[in-house]
Amino acid sequence: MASHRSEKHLDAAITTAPELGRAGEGESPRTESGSDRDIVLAIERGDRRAALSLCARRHGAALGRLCMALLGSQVEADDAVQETLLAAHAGFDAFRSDGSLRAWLYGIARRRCARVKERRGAVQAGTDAADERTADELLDVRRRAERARDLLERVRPTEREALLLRYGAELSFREVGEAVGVDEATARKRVSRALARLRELVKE
Amino acid sequence: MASTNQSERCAEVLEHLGEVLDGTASPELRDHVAECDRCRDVRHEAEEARRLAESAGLDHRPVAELEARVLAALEARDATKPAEDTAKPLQGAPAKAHGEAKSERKADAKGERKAAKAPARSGTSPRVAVLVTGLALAAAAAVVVWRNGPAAEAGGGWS
Repeated sequence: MASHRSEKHLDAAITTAPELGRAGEGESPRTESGSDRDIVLAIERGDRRAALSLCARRHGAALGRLCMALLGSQVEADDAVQETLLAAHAGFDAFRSDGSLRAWLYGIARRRCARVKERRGAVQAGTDAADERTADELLDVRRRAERARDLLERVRPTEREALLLRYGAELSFREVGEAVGVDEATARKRVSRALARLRELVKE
Repeated sequence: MASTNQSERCAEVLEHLGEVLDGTASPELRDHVAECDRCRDVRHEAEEARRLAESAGLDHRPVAELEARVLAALEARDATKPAEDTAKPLQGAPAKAHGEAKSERKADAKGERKAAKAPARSGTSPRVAVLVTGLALAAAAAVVVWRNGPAAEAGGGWS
């Protein structure tokens, strides 16, 4: 719970910056998977456009943070979010309503980001020049995020993704498993291993 | 024996750090953490690791009017069919060919793990390809002339 408070504090810091848009904040990204029922219903009645709108509105901001954590670039993260949502729209028929929509959506984002990273190869995405900000609190957020990403780069990719889906996107262990295509026990193991590894890296 | 059990428990804590942090670990493991100084420190450090993971994407600036942009991209994609990629990147990221982007989206939605392949490239250089094609055409023309004789060549037709 303490970590949630901490994150909300940082979110609040971000919100204070006038240059930052808060699109997608109309509905909280922290919704439980059960509240995606309206999206599932839209998919079931074939209203894919409405489903896409709801996904963008409800999950856009959280998807942006996940893609940013995985890619470290605002431009690439934004592109990945848009591509993720369009991929979801193209594949709503493939979504099984007995699963978690969040897990399915974030699974698409995870694969999209992995592909971007593969294509990028050894070129490390840096901070985008247009992102310069002056507020101290925002700089703190950025510094901490960049340090986190630097350390996470040294965590195995599958474990890193599981960790970010669990604590960045706040999926349950079961949803993490759904998102990455493994069972819940494996998802738990990956998260625990990532935590152990990251803990060692923080101590270095 | 007691110390063996103790170290086994410590190893178990490391294996189940996620559950330990969430408070969903077994009561025995939680009791062990409460009594073991080393594991209490491990949990403390793991909390910091978790907070770090939570912060890794917090410097992302939400895109203004994401919903409208995505819907516009969708409409543009549906309006223009083949040649162009209508899923316009938001901030200048390189555009992909329509077919490539579309197939990737399908693959993503289906959950296929395999990354979409980059546009196929021939291993042959353009210059060599032109030369081979030219030779093939010349050979084909020679065969036709040889089979049909001068009249056919003059008529310019294929029989």
